[in-house]
Amino acid sequence: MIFDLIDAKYFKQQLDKLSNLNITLSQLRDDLRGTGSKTLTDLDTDLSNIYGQLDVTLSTRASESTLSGIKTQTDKLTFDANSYLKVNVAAGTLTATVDKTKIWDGTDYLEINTDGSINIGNFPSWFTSSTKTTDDLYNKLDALDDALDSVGTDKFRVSLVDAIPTGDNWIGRVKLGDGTNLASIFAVTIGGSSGYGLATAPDLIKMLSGGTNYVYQEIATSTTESNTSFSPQLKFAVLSNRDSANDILVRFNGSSATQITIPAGTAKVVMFPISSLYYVSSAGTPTLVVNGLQG
Amino acid sequence: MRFVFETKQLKNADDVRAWIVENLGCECSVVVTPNNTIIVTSVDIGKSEVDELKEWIAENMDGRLTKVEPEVGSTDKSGSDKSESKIGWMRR
Repeated sequence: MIFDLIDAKYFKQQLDKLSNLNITLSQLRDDLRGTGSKTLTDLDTDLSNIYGQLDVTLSTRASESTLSGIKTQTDKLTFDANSYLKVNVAAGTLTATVDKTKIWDGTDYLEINTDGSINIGNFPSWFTSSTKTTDDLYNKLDALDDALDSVGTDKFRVSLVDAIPTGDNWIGRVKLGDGTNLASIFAVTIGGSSGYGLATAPDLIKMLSGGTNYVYQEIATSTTESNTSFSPQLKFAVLSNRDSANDILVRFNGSSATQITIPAGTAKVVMFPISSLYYVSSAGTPTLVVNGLQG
Repeated sequence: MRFVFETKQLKNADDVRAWIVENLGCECSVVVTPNNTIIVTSVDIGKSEVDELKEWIAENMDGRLTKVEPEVGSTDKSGSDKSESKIGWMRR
């Protein structure tokens, strides 16, 4: 110990200064540590940890003014209730280089794949069918085009496959004929009511010339019913009773059909299919003449 | 051709026509009355077919052929009209 060189008075003065210390050193230590009782070692450790997370210098980071500029732009973005971004694309070319793109309305979508193929949601199944291709569609259109080529400028040829729908189906104007002669519409009485009918007639020219299907028969009748048959059936016939006194009664197509009287000296025109003719006289043997056309 | 047979009414016209179509292979029209059967074929038929027809009529309708004549509108198998023209007034 070295005390012999220190003046005792000076030493006392120095010791008296200790009275100026108002806290103890341990109190000072605790105050410096604070409520968390952190030592300088703890602070060094914390600062080291913070420093370890600063991988770049702050001077390389965006300035406040730069961030403010960016915010000004991002503030223009709007979002819907589901936080999806609402976008209006300005006119111009939109190019997006992505692996897959979906345009989605929440249910269906248009999907563009990386191979260039396109999936279209809710598109007609026949169009996207694995067995039907756009080639099929093309072929159908090509066939339709060919069919339309056969349609002249002033005519349209059709085959009616199905029945015309129930109800009024007006056709503006139809000419029926052989190219020169028109079939005619005549005022007629049908079922006791006035109306209009299309006139038709069997092949009267062939009938006049005694053609293949022409039938001419002179039949001697009696009071016993007899019959004559025709094959093909008569589609048109004139039945004449040559007798001047006795009637002839005829039935068509069966011995139990209603009897029709052909009075003496008269004739009846029958436009009714006749496959068999039953005849009987009221008296005597009047001659029944049949002029008919088979077909 | 037009054939007139004296026959009994043992077959109706449909029976006769069906047999001719099936066995002679030609279209025809047939009228069967109590005493006659008149057959008009659309084409001329050969002698063997005529003989076959006569035989069938004899067996099935107790008949015999009384008249054969060409008919207006009757053609051979080439379609030519083999008959003389008979165009005139309808017989009454």
